[in-house]
Amino acid sequence: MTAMVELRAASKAYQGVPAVQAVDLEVQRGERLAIIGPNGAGKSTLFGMIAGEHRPTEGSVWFNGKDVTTHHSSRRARAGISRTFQVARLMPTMTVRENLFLAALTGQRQGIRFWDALSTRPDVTEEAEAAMVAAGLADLSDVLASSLAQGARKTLEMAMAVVQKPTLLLLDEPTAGMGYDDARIATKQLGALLEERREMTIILTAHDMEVIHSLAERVVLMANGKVVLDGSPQYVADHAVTKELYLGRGAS
Amino acid sequence: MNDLVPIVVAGIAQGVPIFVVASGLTLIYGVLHVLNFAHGGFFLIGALIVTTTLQGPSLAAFGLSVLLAGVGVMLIGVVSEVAVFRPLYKAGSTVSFLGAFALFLALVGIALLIWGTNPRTVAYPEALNGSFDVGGARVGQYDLALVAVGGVIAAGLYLLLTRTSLGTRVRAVSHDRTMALALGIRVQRVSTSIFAIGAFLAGVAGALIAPVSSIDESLALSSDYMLPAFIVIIVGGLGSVPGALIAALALGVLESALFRVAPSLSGFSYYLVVALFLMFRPQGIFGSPSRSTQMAR
Amino acid sequence: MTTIGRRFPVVTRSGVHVLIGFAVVAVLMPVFFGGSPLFTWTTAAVWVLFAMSTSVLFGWTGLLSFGQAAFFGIGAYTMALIHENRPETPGLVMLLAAALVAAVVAAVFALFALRTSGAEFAILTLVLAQVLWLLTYRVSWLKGEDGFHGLFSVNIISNPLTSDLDLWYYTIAVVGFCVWLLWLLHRSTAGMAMRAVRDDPWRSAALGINVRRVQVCAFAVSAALSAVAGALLAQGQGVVSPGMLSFAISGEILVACLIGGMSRFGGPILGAIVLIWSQTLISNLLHDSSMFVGLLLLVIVIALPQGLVSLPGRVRNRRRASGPPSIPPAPTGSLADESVPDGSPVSAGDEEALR
Repeated sequence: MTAMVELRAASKAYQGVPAVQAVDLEVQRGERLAIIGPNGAGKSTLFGMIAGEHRPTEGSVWFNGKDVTTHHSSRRARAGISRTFQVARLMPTMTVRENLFLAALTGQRQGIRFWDALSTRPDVTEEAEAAMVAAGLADLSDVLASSLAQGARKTLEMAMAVVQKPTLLLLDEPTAGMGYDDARIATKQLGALLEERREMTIILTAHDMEVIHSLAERVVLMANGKVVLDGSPQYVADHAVTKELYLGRGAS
Repeated sequence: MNDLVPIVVAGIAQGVPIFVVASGLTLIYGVLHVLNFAHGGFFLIGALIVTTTLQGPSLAAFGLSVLLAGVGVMLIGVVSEVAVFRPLYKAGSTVSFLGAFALFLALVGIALLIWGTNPRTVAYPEALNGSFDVGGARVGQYDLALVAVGGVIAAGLYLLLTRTSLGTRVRAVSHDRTMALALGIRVQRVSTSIFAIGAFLAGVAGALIAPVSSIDESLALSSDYMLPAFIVIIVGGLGSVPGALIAALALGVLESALFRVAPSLSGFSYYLVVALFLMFRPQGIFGSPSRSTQMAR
Repeated sequence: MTTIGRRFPVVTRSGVHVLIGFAVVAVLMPVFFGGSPLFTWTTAAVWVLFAMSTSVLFGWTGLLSFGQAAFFGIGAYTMALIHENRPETPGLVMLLAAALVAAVVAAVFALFALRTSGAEFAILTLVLAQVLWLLTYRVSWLKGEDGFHGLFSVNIISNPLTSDLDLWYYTIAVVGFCVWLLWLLHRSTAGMAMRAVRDDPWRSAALGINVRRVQVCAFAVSAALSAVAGALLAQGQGVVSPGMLSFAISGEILVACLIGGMSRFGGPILGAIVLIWSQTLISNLLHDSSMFVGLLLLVIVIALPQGLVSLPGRVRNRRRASGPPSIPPAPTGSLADESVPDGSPVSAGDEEALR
């Protein structure tokens, strides 16, 4: 069986400065993979290469057995990759409801047409409403995304990614910018959601070990643009290299 | 050879006022991240001030008028920065750009109200009315003077940016505004100073072209000076003064050569060059690749 | 938007109220105005269409064009050239041809120009208009400064327009139809995609919207309708000259959009009417209106960034609450340097990322 996502010796350099160096990575269908590593390890760049925002300077990216290296992010999104960003990106002049409507609409992958009036798409409206209720955003439905609080922004972005019905979901720091309590609640909610959608493949980046333990089944540790460790959360967490990277030399 | 010298001198002479305008534009862009559309208004007012203040044909009188134009426009520039750009800075660069555009329209309108719509002209200073014989070709004295003035201004800007504390602060702010703030640089004061310098240069440039051009409102966005200045800062790399210098001179010479060789193509060279640059090297000669491509598309 | 059609679902869905509105204006205007004021209203109607088409690009899609006059002029010149070679061509066919030519030019231009963004893109559009303006002087059959005259005798369907009143009915009908089309676009999934691209191109791409395609389409639509406006003005005034390609035109139409405000569909309509009438009235008094226009725009940009359409909401907010008015953020699109998701600069090779 072909892997869902495959990076083959993928490298990325910014103006000659390497960010990711010859990474080989395979992610199987249905896997829950966390990518961890210190700041500057290349996690976000790796993410960008999978989502399509960054084109590798060398190597290739494969999705469902197809070489998608040259496909831009919108094309990969239409092929079934959805993502969230470290700092949530929303449509600031649209309300919560409109944001979700847009995500549900693009999630149907039928293209965007002039002759498709918004009001003639009750199916999309329904989907969006359901997603809004499921995410607990019903009270905020008519609030502009630009005036949402940080936590609600993250929740909305997550709901938008999920309503797109992706086969691969990329979560970039799902609890970044949240307080401790909010982060725990969000992690719990996310865990329940992911359990419901076992068929979705998940790749996430995180700093918080709690998030990793409760959401991931496999962990990849990156440092200096390379994959250092690859295994179960327990294996990576207990490994001496991890401790050294996170706590500094001598701590192990 | 006999053709080459006048082509190069005429080209450089054409490029100098463009450089002087463009240097102010590019400095302001570097510090404020605003493409200051109002520069065209500054330029026009600089030229108009000369038509009013110039007394007699002597070189000294002309020099005084040029200085007056520079200072007058500098005052307008400081007022505009404080009244228009400072309140808009937080609103983002789109709004600042539109503010600059509104200021442009207002300045041109005010200039029309004061000076009227009739085109004006200014005579060459008597001492620079003739022409030299260089390598068997005739070169206008005023053109040569322009080249010299351009050299002085370029050197002055170089010294200002590399040898003074203001220069250091300007470079710090244009490199990283947040970091500059954190370092205790008074960014607002730097912005105002740079706006003053940019406006002064625009006024001087307007004054310098007064004898060689007919002066009316169309000067504010003329295809001889202002549009090339915008093009020059893009080709040179937004924020780069040396880039503006090289681009202004190179394009000036190219245009003057085209005018001799293929007159039907003259006037198009700036547009052609900028189109090619934007398509194949959008960051310009000296720009860092990130700045222009960083903007989302 | 999903809130559409709450109150009058059938009417707003089909945009019937837009058509009715224009029909009422078309009938009532000649009752109150005649002669030269009616002609000013006719001109204002053309500018309404021009402003609306500019808003498609600037307000809806977030692309600032400083060269809308290019398409306005292409429309006028296309119309004039057809009239010169085949004067018997019906006026509406000329409008259609003008729209097509402009749309093709715009799409080809946009494919190249959209490699840049923000202020550089704005300058490129300015360059396009300037090159076309220069061409009218260099290409002999475009007749340089003289331009084309005597275009009055345009056959609309079969008969030429003979009076100011006929011209008014014809103009307002074309403008009303085009604005109605724009209403449908605004309320379509394509319209929503445009707003999404304006709000956040990165998020749009991540949702699967082909950002580049949406931008090119918006450019083509905007150009086509600007060209209709240009051709319409040429038919009404009987003259086509290089002035129609000048920066003054590009600038004024942006002013119209900004005065009205683009957060509402009808903002540019209001802006165009305010601009044309204030220019007409002030020119009668002061000879030149450009200072007034500049100062008005300056006040709007600084004090009322959402344009005149936001005024009622502001007043209401101020009355209701003592706190600062909550005005939605400017929908004028972001020219700002957008940092990339992970904060690292996008290198040249990543330009494809968002196509």
